[in-house]
Amino acid sequence: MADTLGTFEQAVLVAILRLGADGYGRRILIDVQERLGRELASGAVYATLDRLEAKGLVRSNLAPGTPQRDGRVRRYYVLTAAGVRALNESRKTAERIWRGLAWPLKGRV
Amino acid sequence: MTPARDPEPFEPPLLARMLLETVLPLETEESVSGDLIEEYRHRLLRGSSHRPAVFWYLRQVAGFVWRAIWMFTAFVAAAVALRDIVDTFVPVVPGPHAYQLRSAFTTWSAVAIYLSAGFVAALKSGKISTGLFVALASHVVGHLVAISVGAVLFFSVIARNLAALEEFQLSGGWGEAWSIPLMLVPIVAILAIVGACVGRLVRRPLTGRLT
Repeated sequence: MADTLGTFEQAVLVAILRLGADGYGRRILIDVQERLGRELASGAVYATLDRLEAKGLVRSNLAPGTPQRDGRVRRYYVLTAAGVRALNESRKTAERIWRGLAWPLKGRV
Repeated sequence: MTPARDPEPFEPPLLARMLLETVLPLETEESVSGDLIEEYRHRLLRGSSHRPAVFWYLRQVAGFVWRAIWMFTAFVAAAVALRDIVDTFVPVVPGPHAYQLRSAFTTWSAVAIYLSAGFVAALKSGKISTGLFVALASHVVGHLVAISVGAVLFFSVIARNLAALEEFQLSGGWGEAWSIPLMLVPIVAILAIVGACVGRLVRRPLTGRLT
């Protein structure tokens, strides 16, 4: 069974999926911030990307930079088959947990 | 004729940029620093003042630096604070080798921490300079934390007990709390470089390719 993904890892993986060919560090950071609705330390996103790559859930390739970044290379991320499986598994787990409950929750428990 | 805009504000603060490049691993140094420069310039162009963009950049760099040093900072602070706490609550019984065991603990724990800091940081980053920086920064910040703990101990325990106050003054007092960390800087640097050289040697080859 694959490792359980945390919420932040899921947000990063979904951002990579959504961005497709445009999924490099800065764009992923912006997308995750928009989805989570708060400003994030970019170090947290890069640490998560490193961890996901070490787990084999994403892979990265370098592409030439642009003048806006002094020609520094961009690192583009894509999901691996294991990454897609892990996301599917996380979604399925969340749905199993919530099955049978009306959303949004009402009143006191 | 419109005067050309000064290019200086488009550059992030130089020291912060150098710090960032010091703590980033070789594999991601260029791409991550490029991302931050790109976002910094984007924020500059979007806003009327450059201060929020500079503040944003500095916060990001501080985050990277803290991620690199927090663990060894905690070790340094814990080792020094532990020694202070033991000295305060379990005073040494005077004798020929009274301080030997405690000194040995402090010395060898410091050697282990600074060697490990250099080793781990260079192993992660692939750069000896990162090992040196992480050890020195952990030394400075760790001692500042330990001195804060020492201040709490001083005002809550030592200053209220005449015997403890005399013992504190005899063992060097506040002067020692500041001077010893400064005197240790060259030794910390040597240990960090030794650890970093080993870390760099055992590191895996570089990964990542340009497509």
